[in-house]
Amino acid sequence: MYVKSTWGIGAGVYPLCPFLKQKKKKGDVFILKLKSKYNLTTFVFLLPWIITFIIFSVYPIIFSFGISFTDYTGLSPEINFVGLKNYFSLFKDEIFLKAMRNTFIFVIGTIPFTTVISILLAVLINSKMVRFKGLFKAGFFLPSVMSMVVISTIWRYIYSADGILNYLLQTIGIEKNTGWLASPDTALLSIMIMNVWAAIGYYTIIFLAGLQSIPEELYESASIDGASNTDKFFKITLPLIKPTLFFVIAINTIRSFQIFTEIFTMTGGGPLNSTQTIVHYLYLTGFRQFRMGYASAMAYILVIIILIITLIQQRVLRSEY
Amino acid sequence: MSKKILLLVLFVGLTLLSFGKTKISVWQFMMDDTLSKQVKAQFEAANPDIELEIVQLSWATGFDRIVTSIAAGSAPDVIELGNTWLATFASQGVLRPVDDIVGKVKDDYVAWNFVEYQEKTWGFPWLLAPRAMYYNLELLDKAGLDPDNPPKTWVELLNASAKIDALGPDIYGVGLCVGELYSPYQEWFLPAVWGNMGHFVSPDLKKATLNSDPVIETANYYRSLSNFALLGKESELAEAFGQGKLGFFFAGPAYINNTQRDYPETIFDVTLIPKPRDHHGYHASFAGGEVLGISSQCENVEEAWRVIEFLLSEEVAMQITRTTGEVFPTKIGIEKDPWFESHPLHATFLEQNKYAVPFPPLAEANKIEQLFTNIVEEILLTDAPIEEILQKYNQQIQNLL
Repeated sequence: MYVKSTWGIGAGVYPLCPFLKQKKKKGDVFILKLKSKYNLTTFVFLLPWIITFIIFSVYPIIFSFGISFTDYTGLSPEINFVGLKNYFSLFKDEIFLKAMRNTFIFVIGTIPFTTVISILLAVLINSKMVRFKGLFKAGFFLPSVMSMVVISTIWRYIYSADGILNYLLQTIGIEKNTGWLASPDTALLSIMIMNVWAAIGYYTIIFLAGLQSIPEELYESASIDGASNTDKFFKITLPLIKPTLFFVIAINTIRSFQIFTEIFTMTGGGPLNSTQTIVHYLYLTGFRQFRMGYASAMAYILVIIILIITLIQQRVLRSEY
Repeated sequence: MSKKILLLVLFVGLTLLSFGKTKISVWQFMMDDTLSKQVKAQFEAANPDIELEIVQLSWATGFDRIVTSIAAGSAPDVIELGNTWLATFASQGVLRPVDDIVGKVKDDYVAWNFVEYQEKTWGFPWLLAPRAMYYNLELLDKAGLDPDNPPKTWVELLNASAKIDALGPDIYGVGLCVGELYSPYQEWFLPAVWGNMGHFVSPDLKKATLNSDPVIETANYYRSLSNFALLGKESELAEAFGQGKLGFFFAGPAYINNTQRDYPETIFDVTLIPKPRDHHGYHASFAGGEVLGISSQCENVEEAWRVIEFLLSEEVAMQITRTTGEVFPTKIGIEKDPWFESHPLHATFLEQNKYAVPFPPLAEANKIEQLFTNIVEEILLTDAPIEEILQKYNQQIQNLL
């Protein structure tokens, strides 16, 4: 089984599959090997993609790893080797530590909600109770096809100091002279809520696909045996959509660790770094403070974090199947 | 046959002609596509040996594009930069010093302090965008204040804000920026420090002085003002001001046209930023502005200068003013242009520009700007003691000097 390690690399390696063969090695672990004979025509057709992939993915990955050991600014041609200084400095950098903390809060605070709500919505849409399924599917999926910049801009209006949310609160006697994104106590939470809203549609559709692959006979025989709807959900639905569930959690984890657009558009990491996340701080450090070496080191810390979590998830996957 | 020969000659001729031209690329933010085309046509008509390429950058991604192009070794010949970015770019060797050229126009333009860094000149001041105080005439009237006499001192502003704030739950005395980079300190904390005769760094730019008395006094005043303030991003405050919910609001000239267009029912005016006391300090404002620099990667400096000279001209700069209403030419005597007679609010901004102060030319300006945003947010959004906040950030600024 091939599991994508990150969005970019995973998606990038996928087209190479025709040239790869999977070989079993001790237990269930698979390794990928180049086929000795491959179709030259296919290779020629894939060549433009391979060249693009090498230039725009492989080269930057190697280059950024190299500059993470330097004081490269991006502006000045002068580059000095600084060894592991950037990596050590990161763990003394209060803002980076805060960004790490915020990122973990974001990941832990959004994934369970996104997953549970998506499953429930998918089950609801899949049930016989609901009519106009297509309408609901399209409605829930709509935020997924909208640009995150557009979504963030709309939610900025909802959260603004004189926005809809404060207006509603005012009608029940709660006054607030600060926008929800302008207060360090509520800014991150506000973005998390928006993110859950924006993400559930996409995952609902994935769960729906998983649900539709469950044979109807299982439910029929469970009904004959007198199983309740709750029993059917926990004993049939949930076990059978576990592969989908793990896929959703894995993808959502990676996406959440890489959260950037929402922060960039809505708060710029503020106020008081309360919404600063690893990728946004990486961007600020690289492109606003011109510390490309330092920012690259940050990127590799993120790679390590995502790698560890992906490996843990892979292990869980392996133990289950 | 003769047609074919004619076409061939024409083709070869045009090709040679295009090869004979020097191409100068300009990356800029202020001119939209229509204006860029006009300017290009006007320039190329007057300078047939130069092909001008004008690229418009967006404020959201333009900075990143500039940085990326420099890193890739493909920087444009002429770059428009915000004046606060100049020292950082100059310190990195991205810009070419222009002391050898600047003498030709030094007496014709103002704001040369935008482009000076370590006793060298690194560009040309192009456009001015000082900040002033917007005020809602109707709210002043409702609060029993004289709309013809807006606050001129800090105490007057505090009292007026308190009275306006008391008008209703969704009416606020003043708007103060938080929750984004830059605007919290530019509008208006740092200019207030300058107006109170304070500085966050010593004149030789070597010692942080954020814990000095004028800064502490300003920070205390700012916190007291927050009791009657709506806190939010600049765009949110501008919207609230347009909706008639804000008494006072500090910003650049960009909101004059927008507010008049989107909220025609709101009657407002613009005045000088209040000074600390009648006989102390001055009406300091943040001197925002745009400068034109020549990239150190530029190989045709003489041609680049001709382009800059054209862009600096009153004709082009006033076209930008008329189109955007957001910035003004740096040309000396521009206030005499008839456009300002018919645009009195914009004329007030020109008056305010006499008291405008730019950010000190520090190589680490970008990092310090980000710290300043945090300083203002800590003052306005936390209860931490003022001295403690300023002491903490004073140390951080000192580390960057």
